[in-house]
Amino acid sequence: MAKIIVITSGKGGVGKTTTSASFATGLALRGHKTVVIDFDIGLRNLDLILGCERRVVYDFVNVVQGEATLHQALIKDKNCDNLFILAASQTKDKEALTQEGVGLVIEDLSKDFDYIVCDSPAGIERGAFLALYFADEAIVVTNPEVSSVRDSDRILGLLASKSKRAVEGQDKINARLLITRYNPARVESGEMLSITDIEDILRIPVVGVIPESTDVLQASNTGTPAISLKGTDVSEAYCDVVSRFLGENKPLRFTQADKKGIFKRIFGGAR
Amino acid sequence: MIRNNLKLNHGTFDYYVLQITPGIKLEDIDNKFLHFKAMCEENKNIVLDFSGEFDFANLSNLLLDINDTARVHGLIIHSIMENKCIKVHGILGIPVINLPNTTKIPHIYNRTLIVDEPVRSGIKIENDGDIVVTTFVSDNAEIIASGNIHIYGEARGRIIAGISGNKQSRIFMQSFNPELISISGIYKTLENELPQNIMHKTVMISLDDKDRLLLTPLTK
Repeated sequence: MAKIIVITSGKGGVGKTTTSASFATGLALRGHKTVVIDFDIGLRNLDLILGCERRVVYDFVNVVQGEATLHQALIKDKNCDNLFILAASQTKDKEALTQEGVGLVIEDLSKDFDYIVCDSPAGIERGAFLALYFADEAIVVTNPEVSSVRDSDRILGLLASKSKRAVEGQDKINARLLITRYNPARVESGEMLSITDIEDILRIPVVGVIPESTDVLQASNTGTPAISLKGTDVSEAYCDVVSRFLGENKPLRFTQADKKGIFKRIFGGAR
Repeated sequence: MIRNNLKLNHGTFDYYVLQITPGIKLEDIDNKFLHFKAMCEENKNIVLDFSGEFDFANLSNLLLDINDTARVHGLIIHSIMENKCIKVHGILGIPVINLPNTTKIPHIYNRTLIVDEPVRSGIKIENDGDIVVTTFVSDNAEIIASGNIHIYGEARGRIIAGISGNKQSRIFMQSFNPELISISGIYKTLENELPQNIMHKTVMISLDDKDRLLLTPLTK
């Protein structure tokens, strides 16, 4: 049986799709057969981030509505044999997904895959609800600012009350926090919430901290998941997230502001 | 003793239910009313509950007698409870009502709801009675009780006690930091920085005799 993981946040633009792409790639690179599903019907982005937008023939909605088979719709990643993508539809709206339909697709995928990563749309409407409904685990993506944290809190409430596990009275969804766009210097100057502030409000374990970086934008533009940009902080941080998710014990990195050296302090660092 | 035929109960409403069984004597009813009058204020409403098989022809006479007796004691026959045993319709213009069997429901008011899960943003918890939250309450969550509220984690969010007008209700918080507190409709939003002696401290909230919200720190 596959493990179903939802990447969710409530608020838009915090890095759900970036995280879904990198996390799924990370799992696949570790040798786990992984599929990532884009639930953002009408605003598909995941295929762009993974650089397979030109290869989408059939999408998730086609499969849910029985117009295509899973085999036809699954797109194999160009760099990684263990990673498959189920793209969202650009032309339909979120109402095209039904709970039964999505349930059947996930059931089918469970037979072949180790991990199913569900990339949730922003908001708390149907797309977001269906993305989290079947989940066993959740990664809640949050930026270090109050509105994002509050929306995450709301999503945690939904995970605890509206998901399949909650409705059927099974074990709770294991929810973990991923803080993205973390800028230690701005945290020190008080412009951003610190990791402790966020933990105090949400009270769930932190699975990782992704530093704010221009590499993320560059990765998106070139259709490469950020985790594949070898040597960057972002890539390292996402690798750590995957390790921690799989049960390894890794200390948090990239959470301290750089101490400027004496020369940089005198002459000013080129930024 | 015929006394068994008679029963006056405190319902959950402002009515008192008088249970009447066949073969009842008017003097017993009179006694009961007398006793009843002594223990409560005048002009209380009485609901009659006929249980058992009654002769319909005699029923209107019986009802007339009960009505007169009640009036002598300053009591009002408010209505007749509709039940399976008897169907009466509008005798003497007294309405027939359908109450839940108040004689079998003990005060709902005392039921306490215990919440062990975190109460997150957007979640509303309501109870006719007390609410005890063993963990924290987030911003934008609502805890609404007709009785008292106890919160043992950090209390943010909107904490509303005594909604059906119970001014004796109180709120207890282990770590005080709410957005709004209210008792019996009297509310206060807490937007500004709170004084050191109550912020994140154990605090009791009650209404004083002038209906003002009173915040009492419980830690020294």
